[in-house]
Parts: sequence; C-alpha cells; structure tokens
Amino acid sequence: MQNTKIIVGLGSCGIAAGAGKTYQKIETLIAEGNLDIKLGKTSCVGMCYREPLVEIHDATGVYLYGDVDESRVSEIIEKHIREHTPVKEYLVKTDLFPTPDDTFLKDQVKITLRNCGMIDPEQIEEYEARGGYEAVKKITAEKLTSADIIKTVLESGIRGRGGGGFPTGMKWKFAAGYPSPEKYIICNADEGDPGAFMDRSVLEGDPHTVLEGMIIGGYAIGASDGIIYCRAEYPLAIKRLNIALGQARAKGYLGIDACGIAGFNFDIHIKEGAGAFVCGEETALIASVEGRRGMPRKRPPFPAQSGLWNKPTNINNVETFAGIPWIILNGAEAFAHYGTEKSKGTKVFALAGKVKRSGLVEVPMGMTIRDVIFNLGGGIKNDKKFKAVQMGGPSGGCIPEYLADTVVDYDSVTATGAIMGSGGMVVMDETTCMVDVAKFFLDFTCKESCGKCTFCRIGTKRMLEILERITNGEGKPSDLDELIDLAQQIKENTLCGLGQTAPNPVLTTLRYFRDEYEAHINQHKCPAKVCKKLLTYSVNEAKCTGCTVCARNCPVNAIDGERKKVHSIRQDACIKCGLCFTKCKFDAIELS
Amino acid sequence: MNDLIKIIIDGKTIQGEPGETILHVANRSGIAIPTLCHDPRLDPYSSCYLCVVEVKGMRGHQPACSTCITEGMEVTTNNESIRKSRRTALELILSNHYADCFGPCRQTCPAGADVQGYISLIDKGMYTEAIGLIKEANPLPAVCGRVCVRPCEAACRRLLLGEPNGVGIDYMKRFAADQDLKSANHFRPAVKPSTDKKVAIIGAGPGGLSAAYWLQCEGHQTDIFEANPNPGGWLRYGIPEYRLPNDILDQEIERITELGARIFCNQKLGDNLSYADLKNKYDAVILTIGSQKGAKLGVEGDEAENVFSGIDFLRNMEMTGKRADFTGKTVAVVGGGNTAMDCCRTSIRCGAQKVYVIYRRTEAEMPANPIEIHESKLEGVEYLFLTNPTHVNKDADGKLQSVTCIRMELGEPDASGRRRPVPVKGSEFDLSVNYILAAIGQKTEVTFLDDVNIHAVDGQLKVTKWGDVEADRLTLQTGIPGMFAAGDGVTGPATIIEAIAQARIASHSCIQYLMGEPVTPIKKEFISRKEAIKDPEPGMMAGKFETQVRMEMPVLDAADRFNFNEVELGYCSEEITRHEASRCLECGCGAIYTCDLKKYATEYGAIQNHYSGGFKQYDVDFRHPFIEIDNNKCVLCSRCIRICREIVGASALGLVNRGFDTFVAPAAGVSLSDTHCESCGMCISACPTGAISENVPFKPGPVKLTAAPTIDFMGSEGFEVNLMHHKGFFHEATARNGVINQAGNINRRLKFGYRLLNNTDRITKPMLYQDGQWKEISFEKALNMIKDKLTSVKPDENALFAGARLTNEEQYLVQKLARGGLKTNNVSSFHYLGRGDGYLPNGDFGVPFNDLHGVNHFFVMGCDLNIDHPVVSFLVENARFRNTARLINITTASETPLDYKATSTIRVKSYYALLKAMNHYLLHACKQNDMYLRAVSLNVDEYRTHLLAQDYLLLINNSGLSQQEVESLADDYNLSPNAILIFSEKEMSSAASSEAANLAMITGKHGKTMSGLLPLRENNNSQGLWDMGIRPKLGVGQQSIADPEFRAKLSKKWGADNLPETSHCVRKLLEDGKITNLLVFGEDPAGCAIDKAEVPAMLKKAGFIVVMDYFMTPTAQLANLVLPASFPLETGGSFTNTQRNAQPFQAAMDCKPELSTPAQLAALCNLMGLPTSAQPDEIFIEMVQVLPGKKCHQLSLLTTEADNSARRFDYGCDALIRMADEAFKSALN
Amino acid sequence: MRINRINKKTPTIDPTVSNFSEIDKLLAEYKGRKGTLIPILQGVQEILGYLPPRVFQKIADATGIPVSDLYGVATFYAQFRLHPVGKLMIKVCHGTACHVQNASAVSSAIEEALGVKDGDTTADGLFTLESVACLGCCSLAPVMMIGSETFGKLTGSEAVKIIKEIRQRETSTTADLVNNK
Repeated sequence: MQNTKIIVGLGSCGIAAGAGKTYQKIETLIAEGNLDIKLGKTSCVGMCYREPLVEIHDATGVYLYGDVDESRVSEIIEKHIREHTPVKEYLVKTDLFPTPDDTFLKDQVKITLRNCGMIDPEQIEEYEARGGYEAVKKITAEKLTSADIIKTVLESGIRGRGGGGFPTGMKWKFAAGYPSPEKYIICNADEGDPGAFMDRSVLEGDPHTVLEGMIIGGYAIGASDGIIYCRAEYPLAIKRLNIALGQARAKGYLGIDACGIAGFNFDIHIKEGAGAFVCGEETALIASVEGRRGMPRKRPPFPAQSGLWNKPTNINNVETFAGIPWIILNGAEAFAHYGTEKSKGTKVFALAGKVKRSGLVEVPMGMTIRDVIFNLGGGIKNDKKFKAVQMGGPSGGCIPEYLADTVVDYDSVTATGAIMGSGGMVVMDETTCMVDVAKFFLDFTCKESCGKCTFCRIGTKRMLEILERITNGEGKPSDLDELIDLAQQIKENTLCGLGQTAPNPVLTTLRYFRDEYEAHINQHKCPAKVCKKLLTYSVNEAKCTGCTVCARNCPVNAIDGERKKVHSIRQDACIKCGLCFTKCKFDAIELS
Repeated sequence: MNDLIKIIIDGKTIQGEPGETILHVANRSGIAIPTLCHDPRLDPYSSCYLCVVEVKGMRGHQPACSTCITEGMEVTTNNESIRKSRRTALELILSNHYADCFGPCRQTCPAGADVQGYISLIDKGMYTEAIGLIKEANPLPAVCGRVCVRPCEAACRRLLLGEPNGVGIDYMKRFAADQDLKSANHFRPAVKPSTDKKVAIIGAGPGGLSAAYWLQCEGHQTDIFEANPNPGGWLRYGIPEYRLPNDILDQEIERITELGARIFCNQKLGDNLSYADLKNKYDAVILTIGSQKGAKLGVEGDEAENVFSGIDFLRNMEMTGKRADFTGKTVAVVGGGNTAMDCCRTSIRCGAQKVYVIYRRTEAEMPANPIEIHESKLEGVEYLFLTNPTHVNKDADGKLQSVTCIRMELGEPDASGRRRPVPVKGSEFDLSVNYILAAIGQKTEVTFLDDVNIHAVDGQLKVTKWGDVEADRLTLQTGIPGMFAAGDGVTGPATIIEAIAQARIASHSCIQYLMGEPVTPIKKEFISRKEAIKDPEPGMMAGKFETQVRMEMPVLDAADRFNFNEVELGYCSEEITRHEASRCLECGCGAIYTCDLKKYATEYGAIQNHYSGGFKQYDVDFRHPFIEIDNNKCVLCSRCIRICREIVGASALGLVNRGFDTFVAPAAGVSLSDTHCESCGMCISACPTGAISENVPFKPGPVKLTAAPTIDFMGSEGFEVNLMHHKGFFHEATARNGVINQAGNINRRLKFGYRLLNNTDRITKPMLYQDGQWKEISFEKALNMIKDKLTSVKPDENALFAGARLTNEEQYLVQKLARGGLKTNNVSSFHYLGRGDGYLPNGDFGVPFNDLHGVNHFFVMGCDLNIDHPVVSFLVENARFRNTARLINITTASETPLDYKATSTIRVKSYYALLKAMNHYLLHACKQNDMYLRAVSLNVDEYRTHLLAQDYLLLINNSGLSQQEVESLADDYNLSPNAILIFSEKEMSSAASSEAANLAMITGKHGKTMSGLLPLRENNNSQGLWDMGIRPKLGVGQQSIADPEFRAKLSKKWGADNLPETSHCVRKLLEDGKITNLLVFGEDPAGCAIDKAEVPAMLKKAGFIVVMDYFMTPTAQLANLVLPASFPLETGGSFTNTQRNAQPFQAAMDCKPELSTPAQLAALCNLMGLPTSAQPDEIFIEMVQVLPGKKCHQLSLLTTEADNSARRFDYGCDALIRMADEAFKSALN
Repeated sequence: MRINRINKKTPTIDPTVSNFSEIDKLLAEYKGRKGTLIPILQGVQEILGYLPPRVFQKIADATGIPVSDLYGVATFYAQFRLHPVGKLMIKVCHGTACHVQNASAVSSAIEEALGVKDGDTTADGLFTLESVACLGCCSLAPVMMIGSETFGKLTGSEAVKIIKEIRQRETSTTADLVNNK
C-alpha cells in the first residue's frame, strides 16, 4: 500500500458530475481505515464523459477509473486497495492492459494539455516537476533575446488559437515594434462561445503554463504588465489563477527582475469580465478592461500600436499562451512537425453534443473531422445518424456529414463556410433541426450584439425574426433570398468580428440544409421534429389510459375524452404548446 | 515634414495628410459621402454604416469615417453594391424608427398642406404667414376653410386620445384666411419674372384656379376659359351660398387674378372656343373641366316633371339668380352624400314644408360630412334611412305625384367594405312628394374630344371607360404632350382638395414642359410614418397629453336659417383660435428641414417597411426645460453622448442596455436636468435627426427657417452664430463656423436666450412718463426734448452711459455726443463703474482660442467657466479629453459649477492676495523668467522692490492658503509646460486682474504659445468700452483726452470746437447728485444691481433720466423718457471680443423701431450741431480715422496697492443677459 | 401655445438601501486607480446582491466616474443586475450543446414548477431563474447551476426534483433558525 496515491479530477465538469463528493468520500475512507495513501487533486484530463475520474497510482502502475460517483468509491477502495484487484468494469485507462476507452486518447497529441489531469494545478512544484518554467529558465540560460523568441514563435507557425488564426509571431513582432515604457500583454480568457470550454479546462488544469506563456510573450514584446481577462463565470479558474500568481510571484517568476532577467519588471493581474461575448473582440476587450462598455472600434490603429490606455498591447488567447513554453523548450521544428502546411501544431477541441464521448481532445492539425468524432468521440450517441458538426460557435457554421472528411486546419475549415474558431465542436444528429440551430445562434449573437453598428444591431434581429417566422410555419419562399441578402450585407458592413460572422450559422445551414428550410416553409414541416409550432400532436390510442392529465393541462381545452377512455386532440384548436406531451406519463402523446 | 499621402478616390488622385480619414479627404475634395454618426468635432465612431466605401484589397465595405488613408489606397465611393448597403442601412434604421416626419393631418391631406406648420403660425397670430404657407399647397384657403371635407381632421391623433373631435383645423384655417382677406397687407406670393409662356386653362373651378396660381407664381401667363357666366365652377354652382358665400369666393379668386391670371367666362371648349385657337395662342393647355353632369334617379318614372338631378337644381338657381320657391311643398332628396345635404338644406331655405332625405343605408354609412347631417336635422330635415325609391308615380300630366320606396336591410359587405343594402320584400310604401332631387352621383362630360383631336398633331386626347379624361397617373399629362388634365374631370367626382392636389401635379408637369424639361412626377421625399410600423389603436395617445375640448364653431341659430346667409359664423376671436391651435398635438417632427436621416432616405429611395419586425417605442422625455429626448427617432450614433463627453465635459448622457435594446438617456431614469447637464444644447447640435431637440416654449411648427447671421451678443467670446427665424419669429440659434468659431460652438445664453427676441413686450416707440403714466411720443418730440434738457444745464451736469452690449459704432456715437455735442467728458459705463483701470490691458493678453487645444494645464481662477463662458469651456474640455489635460479650479466660493469637472479645486479667500503672494514668492525666490521679463517690461525692478516690501506672510494669510500651498501652486503654474491661467473679470477685481497679468509675465508664460493668460471679459463688447472711449479720461483707441493733439484731431474730424479737457469721476458726480441729466444707453443698473436699494437711489439723484433699451427694464421704469433700442442684428455694426478681435456684421433683420439706436444717436448728434452719419459702416470709418497712428502699447508690470473689488452689478449690467440668466435659473430650479 | 404634454415621472430613488459602510471600504480600496469601474460594480453587487439606483451616484461621487458611464456599463454586461434577486440563482445553461440536448425543456419545466418566468424571482425570494449563454460544462449538457453548485445531464423533471430538494433544505434551515430564536 505504500507509495499508493489516489488523485481525483476536480475540474469544473468533474465537480459538476460529483467529484467533490467522491473526493470527500475517499478522504473519509482513508481516515477511517487509517490507510497510508496520499490523496491528491488534479484537473480535467479531457474525458468529461466519464467524470468523476479517479486515478490510482500504486506499485503496479497507474489506473484511471471513470464514473466514480460517491457510491462506487467504497467498492473501488475495497477491491483495488485492499484486495489489489483493479475493478475492470470502471477502468478507463491503464498502461497494463487495453480498455475500450483507449481510442479516446490514442490519437491525441498533448502539447497544450500536456499537464492537464496530470498535475495538481494548485502546486507549482508539480508544474515545475514536469518541465514547468524551464522555458523561461532557458531564456536566461541561453540569453535569448526578444528577437530570438519572436523568431522561434514565427518559425513554429503557431496561429492564434482564439479563432482568428493570425500568426502569433507576427503579432508579437508588431507589438515589439512599438517602443513604449508602458506596454501590455493580455490573455483573452473570456471564452464566450456557447459550446466551448477549452480555455476553462486549461486555466483550471494548468494555470502556470498560461502564466509562463505570458511571461515569455511579455518578455518578447517588452511588456510592462500582463492582464488575464477572464470570465467571471469561471470562478474555479480564477481561484486557481490567483493561487498560481501568488506562487509565481513568490518564486520570482513575476515581479521586479522577473525570472531573474535584469530590468524585466513584469507582473500579471486578473480582470474579471462581466459577461459580454463581444469582449472576445480585441478592441471591445480593451474597452472593457478600461472600464467601459465593450464596444469595438475600427482598426487600425491596431492594439499593437494603440491598445489598452492607448499603449501598445498584445492580446492572445489562453490556448495560444499555453503552447508557447512547449515551443520555446522543444523548438519551433518540434511544433511545426505536427499539422498541415499552413496550420502547424495541435489544436484542442471541445467535443460536445450528440457524441458518445464528450470532452476535451487535442489533436494534430490535419486530422479529419470524422476521425475526431468517430475515433476519439466514439461516434454518435444512441447510434443515431450523424448529421452535422457545428464548429466555431456563433461565428462558425455547420459542416454536414458529407464533408466530414474535411481535415481540421484553418483553411480547410474556412472553406466549408464554418471557421476553426476557438475549438468548439458540437455534434448534431438527425434529431437536430438545422433551422432551429441557425435560429439558436442568431438569437445568441442578437442578444450579444453591442448595438453599435446598424447592420448588427437591427440586421441580425431582422434575420432572427425571419427564422422565427420560418420555424413557426409562417415563412414565405422569398424569406430565403431575403436571409441570404441580409446575411451578405451584414458580413460586409459591420465593424467587428461578431457582426461580420454573425450570419455564418445561417449561411452554412442554408448552404447545406436548404431542403430543411424549404420543408419548413413549403410543407410547414420540421423534418427533425423540433420546431413545436410545426408539429402535430396526437394521442396514441394504444398507450392512452384516459387519465385526463393532458386534457386538464391543455390551456385551450383542445383535448376531449372521458375518464378511462381514450382521449383525442382537436387539431384545429391545438396551439402546439407541447404541454400534453410533457405531462403525459404514458408516452401516449405522439409527435409528427 | 512633407509626407503627404496620395490616394485614389473614384479614379481621382487626391493628396491627404497621414491620419486623415477617407471621409475627410473625400469631403475636402467635394466627393459627398453620406454619414449619420460622424461629427467633424468628434473622434471617429462608425456606427451608422452609411459612409461605407470600397477599398481595393480590403474585404467587405469600409466605413469611410474611421478608415485612415494609406499610400496608394484605391477607394470607390459610389457603386451599386455601396448604394445598396447604404439603402439597407437606412431601411434597417427606419424599420425601428417609430416616428413621424409629418403629422397624420399633413399625410392625409391630398394636397399635402403643412397643417402643423400653419397652425403654429396661426398660434403666433401670424395669419398672413400662415396663409402663405397654406397657399404653397392650396391657393383657396378661405374656400377650403369652409367647405373642405377635412380628411386631416378625421386622421387627427386627438381622436386616439379618446376625444370625440380632432383639432378644428378648418376652423382655424378659415379664421386665418378671413383675417388675411381683410388685411390691407394680405399675402402675396413671390412671383418670378415673366417667362413669356402662355397657358390656357379650361375651367375656372378649384383645379383651374389653383393651376393658374402656381403657374403665375412661376412667371407663366395663364388664361382661364370658363363655360359658365362666372368663375368658380363647382364652388359657385354646386355649393350653396349659405355654406360658401359668393363674395368670399370672389375675393379668393381675385387673389389669383391679381397675380395676372385672366378669366374669360362664357367660353366653352368645343363650343364657342376651339382647340385650334388655343393651340396657336398658347404653349400649353390644362384641362380642369370638372365632373358635373347630374345622374338621373334611375328608376321607372324618373322622367316625370319636378324630378331633378340635385346638382342641376343647385346650378340652375345660381345661374338664374332665382331661388326656387318650395313654399308649402314636400321635397324628397335621394342620396347620402354632401350634394344631398346641399339639396335638402337648400330646399328648406326655399321654403319647403317638409324635406325628406332618402338613403338606402344607415346614418353611419352616409358619406356626407357629419356636421352637415347634424345641421340639416337642426333645420328640420327628416331622414328615411334604409329606404330606396323604386318607382316614381306621376299624374296624367306627367307631373310628379309620389314616390314608391322600399325598406332595405344591410347584408354582407360589398367591395367598398360597407354592408350591402338589400330590399326587404313586400315593404314597399308610397311617399307623397312635390319634388324629387336626385343626388346620387355625377359624371364627367367631355364634349370637346373631337374638336381637340381634329386639331391635335402630336397625339390624341382620350377618355377612360368611365368617361373621364385619360391622363398619366403620376404626371397628369394627356395623350397630347402639351396638354395636362386635373381634377374631377380626370378622377370622376371627388373633393375640392383632391382637385387642388391634382392641379398641383398638373401645373408641376406643365411647368416642366414649358421650360423644355422632361415631364417627370414630383419627386417624392421620404416620409417616416408611425403607421408604416404599427397601425394606430384607439386610445394609444392617452396619458401622453392632457385632454382639451374642441372650440366649436358658432353657427346661426336654426330659427334664423330660412335664408342663404352663411350658417357657420367663424371663430370670433384670436383667443378662441389660439385655444384651438393649442390642441394640436404637434405630431410632426421638428427636424424635418434638417434631418439627415430623412435627407439620405430620400436620396437613396429607402422604404420604411422594407424590413419589418420588432421595434422600440419610447416616451418622449421632456423633463428638461430646454432639451427633449425622443429615443424613437434615435439612430444610436452617440453624437450627443460623445459631444457631451468630449467637448462639454459633462457626460450627462450615456447609452443604456445593449444590442437592439440600446437607447440614449441619463443614468438610472433620472431627468437630464438632474445630471451635470449644463443646458448648453450641444447635444441638439450634434443630433442628425430629431431625437434630441430643443424643448421650445412656442408651437414649434416646424417651418422653414431663414438664417440671420450675426455675432454672439450674450457673451464675450464673439462667436459667429445664425439666428434662425421664420418671417421675424426666431425659432433657433445655431453655431456658424467662422474665423473665431472654428469648432462650431455656441453660448448657452444665446442657444436658448434667443427666445427673448420674440418677446412681445419690446419697446418700439419713445415713451414719456407724464402724469403718472407712460405715453408714446414721436421720435422728433423725444429727441428734441432731450436736446433741450441737455443744453439747459452746464456741460458737466450731464452724464452719458453706454453699455457693454452696444456695438462699437453705438458706443462711439455716445462719446461723440458727450464730448463733441455736450462738451463734457462725463461718459462712462456702469459695467466698469468704479472698478479701476486694471482691466485695461486684458484684451491684449488672451491666448488665442485656437491655441487652447494644445494646453495641458488649465488654472481657472474666479470663473464659472462652464456657465459664463461655455464656448471657452468647450475648447478647454476638448483639450482635456484629447490631452488628458488638468484643470485646477481656484475659487473663493464654497461651491462652483466647475467643481465636478475640475481635476482639483482649491478654495481661497482672496484672489488678489493669492496672486500677489505667488508673484512675491516667485520674485523673491528668483524663479522669474528674467530674460523674457526684462525684454518686455521696463519697470521690473520698480515693481519687484515694491512687491517684496509687502508683508509676505500677511498676503499668505489673506489668500486663505498655507505658505506651502501658495508656493506649490506658483511652482505648478511656473513649471508646468503649456499652462494657462484663465479668469473672468466678472469675479476678479481689476487689481487682481493686474496681478494675474504680472504673473503671466513673471513666469514668461505670456511669451509662449499655448500658455499664459486668458482673461475673459463679461459682455460681447466690454472691450469696445475701452476702445471706443467710454471712459472719462480715455478717448477712442485708449488715447488720453488730456492730450491736446488728440483733442485737435477730434475737433477737426467732428467739426467741433472747445472739446473738454478735464474729466471727472462720474461715479462721484452721480453719488453727489451733481448730475442733472442722466442718459443710459443699453444698461440696466437698477435691474442688475447687487445692492438693489443703493443703485436706484443713486440714479434718482438725477433730475432727468433717459434710458434706451429693448424692454421696460427696472432702470427704464425710473426714467422720465425711454427710447427704444434696436437689436444689433437689425442694424449691423461691430463688436470687439475679449481677445480684441473686432468683428463686423451686417443687418440681418428689419428694424422694429422706426429709428434704430445709431439713427437716434446720430440724430441727437446732428441736433447738437455735430454732422454724423447713422450708417454703421460710415461711423466705423470715422472712428478708424481718429485712432492713434500706430499701436504704442508697451507691456509693463502693474503695481497694485490694494484689492479693489467694487463690482456693483451682475450680468455685466445688461438687461438682456439678466433676463436670459434669470430664465435659466427659474427653469432649472 | 404648446400642447400640454404629460411628463413621465422621475423615478423615486430607492430609499431602502442605507448601509453603505462595506461599500465605502470597497471604494477606498480602489481609490485613485484607473480601470476600476467594472471591479467596483462587481464588488458592490457582491455586497448588495444587485445594483440599486442610489449606489451609482455614490460610486460616481467617490470615484469621479460619470454616473452615465456607470449606468451604461451596468446595463451593458450580463452580470449586473439592477433589481434584487433571490437567495439562490438558478442558471440554466443554454449553450449550444445544452440547446441541442433540449435545455429549453429544462427551463420550461422549472418555469412551470416555480411559477416564474425567465429573469423573475419566486414569491418567497428564494430563487431567481435565469437563462445563461454557456456555463462551460458542455460535456454534461444540459446543465444548470444553483448557487455555486452545478448539475449536469438533466431532464426537466430531474431539474425540478433538485430544486424541490433545495427548497426543502432551505426552508427547514430557515425554520430552524426561527425556532432557535
């Protein structure tokens, strides 16, 4: 039992799945049994679909257990610790023998996520033990100059992981080119895409790597201050960042002569965002940090010239910074070894939706979407038909099944009409209505529009209203042309990325799923049976028990029937609210 | 640096400077790019997306307002894709623009009469102007004021307020028209010079008369050919006299013939007039033939004797001049329209014993005007609703005996939406009647078709299948190019106002034709309508306005109506009319003539409901007494917010919410007046639409305004402004970009105080106080009386005072009158009375306004900058916004309006002590800029010795600050680069003013650009008082009157001997009662006195007081004789601003008093034997000729002994400023 | 004469909030620093639970930030609330993953069970229901967060069950507190 260590995954998703209780339970059992076991914490390893995850290190090897909720703890402790028999049915991964989940990890290449789920994010020593802060030490040891670093970053070919895909090295070069005693480097951790959680996982799982990336960037561009602009909705990430900042300061990585580099006075502070998706846009983010409404302005001047407090400013995304220490340490070539011609390295994706194994994966650029979804993600939930994958969130688009062999790199994804974005991949199956999805995203951008530009403020609303009409069965054939026309104009006539890309979800769904739109308009049907107003509710006579619940709940008294006799719905009176469907305990209300 | 950038815009190579935007460069090069959100005064913003252009190599469209030029950039500003985007931007904005350009009255008026506009003029008693406005759309207001069917009133939003009646538009129009007809100065339109083109108009009905009016206005000769014996058409032959008296019609026709139109009666085309003649004699023809053939009853037996068509009956009476005699008879009128009403009411007047109206539907469906129905019932007409005649029964002689009718009931709605009447079987009944008048419709009669077509060469006239003249719907051009048609003859029977509307279109087309232009429809301007977004709902206006019942029209008593006297008597007074005018809800937008959104929507052909969907609806916020916010009209350009932040520095407004829910408002729902709002109105100037507008105290109109360009007369900055007026009534004051006013700013006193110019209490005649009351007297009598008084005493028993608001020319004349005419140097101004000479050099010290943008440190001392000198304040705040400059507010007050803006506020006890202590410290510590100081001033050592001998610690103590504070303040000013000290004469004594000047010299700040001193004088021409010789000791150009050479020059120029050499302290003479005759020109010492008791007592020591002012000021109340003053903008002249820029301006308005101020002064001079011109430019030349040859001004340090703050008057002693400031105070508290 | 328009009333400033001592401390902490507007509003909301109208003038007076800026920012960001909220926030995630897995059913079930609409607070002041864009727990969709606790893989009825349990727990603790007094 000696040298046995149990590590519980305590990322946000783990905690949401009950990992906190699991941890407490193990703690109790260790105390009660007076076991000589070290109990540790780590964060998300990416296998969100098997949370809570518990890893046991013992003399024989490393065992990762999944779905370890409170109730299973005793069993695992009993069998694995006391009886030295691994509980195979809960085992997710071990080096000792294969498990069905191996395919999830097999094809991944972990650079950004190299420490996630491996270390206790609240212990700087654990980070250091895995090569953390070696990159900054390399700078002092090898007396690397700003130009050296920028050269390496340029050569690595890394492009902005926040969605824009602008070469990071170029950005740094610009920022370095504007001398100023005050200069800022900002980490954009305002991950606002619905359906994306890469940044959260990295911040929770490996905050130091982000700090180290920022230190390197700060050194390269000559920054005086670093700022992490983080969503307030990520309390755990903020907490761990604060711990990490304290530790990094204590160790001299931050502060006066940071990392031992004379004259490099650099510190990092956290700014909590207050909830505005548009603040993902650089100029809006800067406005927000300055304490203003997050409304973008026209570029140029680019932040590299005039950013925060009108000083040169460089902004990169969490994932970009997280990759930097690895690149400096392992060299540009090592990074550029992965990926395609124009998209180097790896990319983290948040796999969610109707996929069996949802979670976080890091794959080399160039893998096909199909491989990501089927090999890593294990295919579609309940083995339904794969329909499309949404990439890039509200700025992105839906890639249909027949384009699933598209490889993930910036240009290939863009060619489909979607965008790489920050890495959200929401998988959709045959029960997903694509018009509804387009409406969902437009509703989002409409609500998140800052309201400055005419086209974004009113145009997206008009588009949304057309989509609402269509999903309510009131669409006109001319609506589709109107949608495309408005979409095109909005793209051309707005200031920031939010507006310019807002129509993408509509345009891609219209491009690939026009028949679905037409079915809504012409046949007043929703093929995926999602749009309520287009559904017909009817009573399955075989299942109906005559309990009268549906009739009593119907707000318009459209259901007839006597107690204990089969009920029926008068279609002309039905307002399609769906209440009967949700109320029926016998699944006797059917949709068509 | 010569790194100009070359770019190509629309193929044209243009140079620009780095940092310039495409919009800026394009505008400079005359390439117009539309924008709503850009304001050249503010930083680029880019929200409206109207200014989009294409830039080669850049994706999508770029906003030109914020895209900076780069070398070789290729820009396209106008192509189909760009135009489309702009149109879409406008349409998107308009889809959420729940606002009206015009009220529904104007929208529904077929002729498009500006109802709201003319109501606003009627409200102001400007009847002639109102008629002028009406006649732009309708040349027959007296007629229409009586008999129009008034779709406007039916559409009036008063009805949506839950009131039974709309605004009495016609009643007011009639009142105005009748006033105008009666007036000796009735409205006459501007008529263009003759074009020698001639137009024949066929038919002198409303259409023909109207067409003649517009054509005559354009300089074309019109001849109207009328088939009947008299002109008027339907107006005369269809409408009975009790509704429209012939004399009214005749007068209104005369208004058209007096323009040169000729009317030839008894001339019928195709009968005794041939198109062959017309074609030869005329360049064009307009057919306004009407539709007057009566329809028969259309039932069996309708050929019986005594069965007439209604209109034949009416016409016959008019034609023959004989009233029908229905005495004791029974008359049945069939039909439910207005003609039926005319027939039944005429029948009553013809003595009928019984009159029935037979109508097949119910009263609710009757098309006749409800008032007519009501009146007819009063007169005894009996209605048989749901009844229809089926058979006319006649006797053996073929004479009418009775009519068989059948009862009807209402069935399903028909095409017109009304329920179709269907006969009730077996309900027939007989009605014995003597006469039947069928008023069931009319037809057009085109009898001249063949005559025209035989002679026409380049086309053919056609008729429609309804028998009406065929003409193009939009241009009203017929098949013959030079022939146009309008009115009922084209449309079939319709209304008078529709005929007039048509005549407008036809005359527009005809004018184009005559001028050789292609005939095109009248260009439609974009009109925003609430109805385009949402249908009106009953009660939707409730809660927004107070209810107010309509002033009903007085009518003849029913018993007095058995004649053809006019039944409606017209509003009997202006009060009643004005009361009705006040009911107008002012639905239309006040910005229609200036709105950029409307302009661009018109230009780009935007359609308001192209995109429809959710929209925002806001209550108008008019809690602020001067500014109202209507978010319905807001395009979210944020210009108001940005100007309030970037230039005013008040940040009173902000954006609330985000996305589609965003709107502009002060924080947390409070009123703008509860914020730091400075009531400067800059937000109004920035708004491209009518979303932020002036909350005016008068009916806003809007009406088209004319600019009266002038110089600010309520502040000392001397900024160029336009006073916007309509026929002399001022509606607005706007900034005019000029030499001084490069930024286009405005003083709030003028921005809202211009309203004082509309004050009806203005004095326009000399007033003599006699026997306890004021009497108007003639100028001649008044001026002679003054002369007699002045000459009856010793010269020095007279004293003349001139105000700081007078023009240089007026001030010059005052001192000329005193010195040359009265031989006294008792010439002064209360403005500076007893305050010493320390202010003298202030005019030479001011840092040029245009340099303020580069200042980094503002030290504002004793000055409520943002209240008293807002225009300077704007420049300061803009510098602060751009440079994050500091503002140190130094004040003796415990609270100042500037506190909230200042970087820090330093409270002191004495400016004088503080400045002197600072100077003491700097000189003592040898921190002065010696090189500069010795170069400019000869008396450095003398001053130094004197100052250092003073008790430093006592000065410190008196200043109210600690020694350390004083010294650090002195160091701060001395050492900060680009630092400037601003102070106002209003608050700082002249001794303190001198020490401030000393400080600027000691520190050498005065010698550098963008730093030094900015003294601010109080009034628009305070400087003039120094320069024009309004000081006992100083003559023009600050020359000493004791100087014999100067006196000799004056003597020669004026032709006057013995100019007085000695001068006295006028204040002392006044206080000692040594002044017998006191003449006060443009000052209000009694009203502006800080000590309200002392000053009047002092004034009253004089035996004879003359006051010249605009209004009966408190000082004027003390006078024996009051003279009316002219406004500077009525005479022209010049003011010298606080920086000593003399700025001439021209007269922009007629002078209300018969004699202007300069004319009265010149007359007095002439009476005193001094030949003097009353022309400002001639006075100016004379003044220049007595100026010193060269400027001999030597800067020097001014030694002061003690503080001498002896300010006795507020408001610069000017009644106008007092009234403006008091109005602000009472409105904002 | 102008038409008599009826003016809208100036809202009366909420008089109930009086204890500003904690806020004073917060303001003192940020004094003289730039870019602190959002952290100050966050701090005040943390203390008071929402941003009452009165607080804006107070912050403005202390910081010199125009009150229009404060209000503009407070109404721009989703985080800020201008009205009091319940003791516990129920945040139902409507991110993409949750949306495609029927988050709307979760919302409507809760709305029905609590008898409130999105954004409203229950009569007992216990819960405020709010739809949020994304909680970042997409792999557990659909998700909701109550207080600081996250619940995943929900259905409408499960969500309602959880809420009922919490309500029971909360009311019994309140009852205990009352009893103990």
